[in-house]
Amino acid sequence: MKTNNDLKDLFEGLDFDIAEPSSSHEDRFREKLRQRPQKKKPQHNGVINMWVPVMAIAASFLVAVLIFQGVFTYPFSQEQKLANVSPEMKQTQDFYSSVIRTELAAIQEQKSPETEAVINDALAQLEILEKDYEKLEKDLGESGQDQRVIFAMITNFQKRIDLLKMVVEKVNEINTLNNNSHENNTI
Amino acid sequence: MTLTTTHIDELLEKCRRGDERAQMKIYKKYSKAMYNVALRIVKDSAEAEDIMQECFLKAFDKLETFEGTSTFGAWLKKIVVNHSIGIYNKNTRHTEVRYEDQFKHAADDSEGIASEEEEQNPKVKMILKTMESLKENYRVALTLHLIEGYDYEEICEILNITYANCRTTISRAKESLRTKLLSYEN
Repeated sequence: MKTNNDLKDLFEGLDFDIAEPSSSHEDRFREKLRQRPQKKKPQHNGVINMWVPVMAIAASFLVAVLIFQGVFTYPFSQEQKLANVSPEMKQTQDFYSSVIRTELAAIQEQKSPETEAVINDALAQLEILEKDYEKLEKDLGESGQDQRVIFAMITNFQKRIDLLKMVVEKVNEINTLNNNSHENNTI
Repeated sequence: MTLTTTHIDELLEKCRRGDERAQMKIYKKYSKAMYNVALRIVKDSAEAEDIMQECFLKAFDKLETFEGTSTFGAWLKKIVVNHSIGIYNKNTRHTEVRYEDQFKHAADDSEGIASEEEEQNPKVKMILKTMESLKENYRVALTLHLIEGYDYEEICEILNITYANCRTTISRAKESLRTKLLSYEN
C-alpha cells in the first residue's frame, strides 16, 4: 500500500496545460471584447456619489464665470503685446525690434537717388508686415495667448528682418554697381 | 518575480480603465492555462474555449472586486473553475447521452494531438488518460484536488457538497486512480 502522498508526488511539478485553444481564439476574443456593452461606470461608495452633483454645480459655475470673463474682459484687453506672454518673449520682442531699428537706420543712411525706389518699396512692404503684426497682437489677446499666434508673431519679425537684409544687400549692390560704372567711365 | 507582479498590476490598472491592448495582453498571458482548466472539467474543446473567453470578459467587468489578496491568476482560475463546473453540471443534468459523446470527443482530441504531445509529456498524457477512465465525479474531484491544487474546503465550496462527502469521494477516487495507474504500469 502506497502512502497517501504518492499521488501528490506524482502530480508535483507536472505541466498539465498540454492542450491549445483554437488558432483563431484571440481574434474571436477581441471581437467579443469589442462587441460587449460598454463597461458600466465603476460604482464608488456613496460618499463619492453624493459629491457628483455638487461638483457638477460647481463646475457649471466655474464655466459661467469663465464665459462672463471672456465676454466682458476681453474687449478691453484684446491687444496683447508679445512681451506680456513671458519674460523670454519680452526678450525676443526687444531683440527683434532693436535689430529692425538698426537695419532701418542703416538703410536710411544709404539712401540715394538711385536706391530711393528700392528703399521706398521696402518701407511700403514693411508697413504691410507691421499691419499684420498689429492684427496678430489682437489675435493674441482673443485666443488667450495661443501658441500658433505667438509663432506667427515671431515669423513676422523674421520676415521683416529678412526683408531689410535683402534691401541692404540690394542697396549695396546698386551702390557698388554705380561705383564700378563710374570707374569704367573714367578709364 | 516582483517585476512581473508589478507589470501585471500595471496592466490590470489599464484594464480597469478599459484599455483594450492591456486586456488583450492579459488574455494572451492567461488564456492557455485557463483554457486547459476549463477543458479538464468540461472535456469539450469548443465549450472550454467559450467558457474561458466568457470568464475573461466577466473578470474584466468585475476587476474592481479583485482585491489582490490572491494572485490575479488564482482569482481568474477560480472564476473559470466555478463557471466550468456550472456548465458541466448543466450538461450532465440535461443530457445523459452527452456523457458518451464527451468521451468520444475526448478520444478524438487526444488522437489529434497525440503525435507531438505524446513524446513531450508521456507521463502527463498517461495520467490524464487514466483520470478520464475514472467515474465522472471522481474525475472532477481529483482534477480539482490534484491538478488545480484546491484543498477539501475549497472543493466542497466549488462542488457544493459536504466536507465529509468531499473527503470520501476524493479518498475513493485516489484509491481508484492508484489501482488504474498500477494496472497501466504493469
